[in-house]
Amino acid sequence: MLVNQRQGIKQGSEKNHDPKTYDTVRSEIITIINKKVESIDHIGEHSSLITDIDLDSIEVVELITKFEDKFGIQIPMDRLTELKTVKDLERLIFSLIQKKHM
Amino acid sequence: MKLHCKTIPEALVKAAASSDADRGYTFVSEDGKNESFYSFKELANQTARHAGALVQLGLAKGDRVGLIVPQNEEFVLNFLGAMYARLIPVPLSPPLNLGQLGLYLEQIKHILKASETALLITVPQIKSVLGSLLGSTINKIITIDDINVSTDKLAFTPPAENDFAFIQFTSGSTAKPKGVALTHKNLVTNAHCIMNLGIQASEQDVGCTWLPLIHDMGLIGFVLSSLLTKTPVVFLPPLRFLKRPVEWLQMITRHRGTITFAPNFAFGLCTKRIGESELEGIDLSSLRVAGCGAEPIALATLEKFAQKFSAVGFQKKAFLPCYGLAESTLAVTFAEPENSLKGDYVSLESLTRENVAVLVKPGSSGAANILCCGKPFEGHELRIYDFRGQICKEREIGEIVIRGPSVMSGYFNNKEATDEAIKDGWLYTGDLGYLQDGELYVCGRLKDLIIISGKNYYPMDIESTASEIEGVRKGNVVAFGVQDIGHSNERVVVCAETKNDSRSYPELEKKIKTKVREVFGIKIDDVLMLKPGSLPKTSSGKLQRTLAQKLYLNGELGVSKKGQGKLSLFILWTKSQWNFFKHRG
Repeated sequence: MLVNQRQGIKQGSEKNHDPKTYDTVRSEIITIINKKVESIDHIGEHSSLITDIDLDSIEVVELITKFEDKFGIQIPMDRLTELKTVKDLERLIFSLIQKKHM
Repeated sequence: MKLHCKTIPEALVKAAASSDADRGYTFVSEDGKNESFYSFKELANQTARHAGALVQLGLAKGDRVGLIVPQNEEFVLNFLGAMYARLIPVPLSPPLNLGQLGLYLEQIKHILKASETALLITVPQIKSVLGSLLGSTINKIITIDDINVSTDKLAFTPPAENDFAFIQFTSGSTAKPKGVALTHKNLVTNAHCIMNLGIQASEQDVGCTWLPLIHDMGLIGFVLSSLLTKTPVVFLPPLRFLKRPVEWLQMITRHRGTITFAPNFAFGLCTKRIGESELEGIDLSSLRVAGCGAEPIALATLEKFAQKFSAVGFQKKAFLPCYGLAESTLAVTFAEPENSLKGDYVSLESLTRENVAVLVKPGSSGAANILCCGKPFEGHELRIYDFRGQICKEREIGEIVIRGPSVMSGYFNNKEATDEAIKDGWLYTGDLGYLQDGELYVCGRLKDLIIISGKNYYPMDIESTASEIEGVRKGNVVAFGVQDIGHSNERVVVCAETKNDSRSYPELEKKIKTKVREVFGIKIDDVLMLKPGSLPKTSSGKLQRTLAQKLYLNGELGVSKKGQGKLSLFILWTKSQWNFFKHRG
């Protein structure tokens, strides 16, 4: 029971995103990762987020933010431990997008 | 030094009694959409309620209370509540998101044991992963929801100034966690130094910070120090800053912030990540202090920040380089306000060869910039000792040692580590620097510690993690950072022995890099795989990290690269001199 004052912060208008198909989401995710990682090996659906993507903890947050901005969703940080492959990431993001449009 | 109160709870009570209703702490919510404001009066009320609830749980004066609470608002109320009830809070970091839980639990276990913590307060999500600690390491784990804050306020009994106020664990080392035990006197003294002598805070000041409150810069620098001067502070969740650095600048704009602090990397992150389009509406003209510390400061990083954000009112003279360490509460020296990033250009060659910082022209070859971090605070002494334990001349480089009321009485329950750090009342910081006109210039680190983005990592932890990989010879791994002047982030190097065929080296290198990144969230710049027996050892079979580092830097270990880390080589040389004299003396 808090007796303090709460105030809203004005934020920029959120962009409206059309519902996307799973395939579009996948290709957009892979494009974002490849742009960020600049790896010699091409990152694909079955790439491991742990062994194939060389990012430190701050860069991981940056990548997550890129997905949030692109798809207009919020990715809870405590869900990240579940993610092992790019495919896991696709599924999580796709489900968050669907939830948003429900 | 004249202090107007002796303990932190007294400072809170005084702020509550004597400040206007519009002064206090504001917490930005985790989703960034709301702010909750506590006037100092309301903060004191809530603190007293939390204190009452903690006492009701059966805790008594001096009991240690572990806190793993990631939300700023709840953390502050429970932390201050514990202090108010004369308990000793022990802040602990939440698990790393992509990290491995095993190592995290191991670290928490060591810290809880070393601090003999009676009760751990956390949030439900974290409690569920801490189950294995219950019984063996700790008797009771509760969540913030279990704390019944609707109970009556606890009547205020001030602690004694020499009572321990809280314990700050600086080392995540699994082997020997070291908890800096700070008294109320330490805290109030350092808070006075920071707010009154360093920043020279006035009624008009407003603090704005995204710093994690489990570290000294955020916790002592903002939560505790600001009580002394009744300075309003706005707290942004650290993750919000890391996700969108512009939110730091937005909060400063929104609240007309005048004071902020951050490690070097944060200013770099802003320059890199904030796009021109995000600058619309940003106004940093109110900011008069942008403190920078907690890791080596690179002039280039700060200059780039100033260049980019001068368009939105940032004034370069707001930068305030400072030096400090947890063992001396927080702050040791502050540069003079508005000194406009005063610094020396010194010859790297003479610095590393002759132990002296010889001035050269900026831009000449081999010139390195070292920023001035100012003078020690009133009532504190600072000296530079050479390896013989003698005081250095001006501009001669040696170990920074300090003495005064901000220096901890010791590590909690760890006499061995305390005796190593404090001799005759002087704290040996393990940092290297020189003095000019009484002002400190920090050059590097003697102690085995790697700092990345303001966070400390211990070579031993990285070594034991790499040792766990199949194919790596257990215990035959060394890790170290390579420091260079003018670079704030150091390069991390791991050298590991293996019995495997050299064809397997690339695969092992990748495994080591992946594992360290997974566990610590940092990148290794270079992994060097070696044949058994390559790493130097003492006659008793102990690994010689320092010697291995020297061989690496000289290109004498495997096929390592030569020509980098001049500063590191100099530090190694200094260390060897130090040890030589220590053994003779």
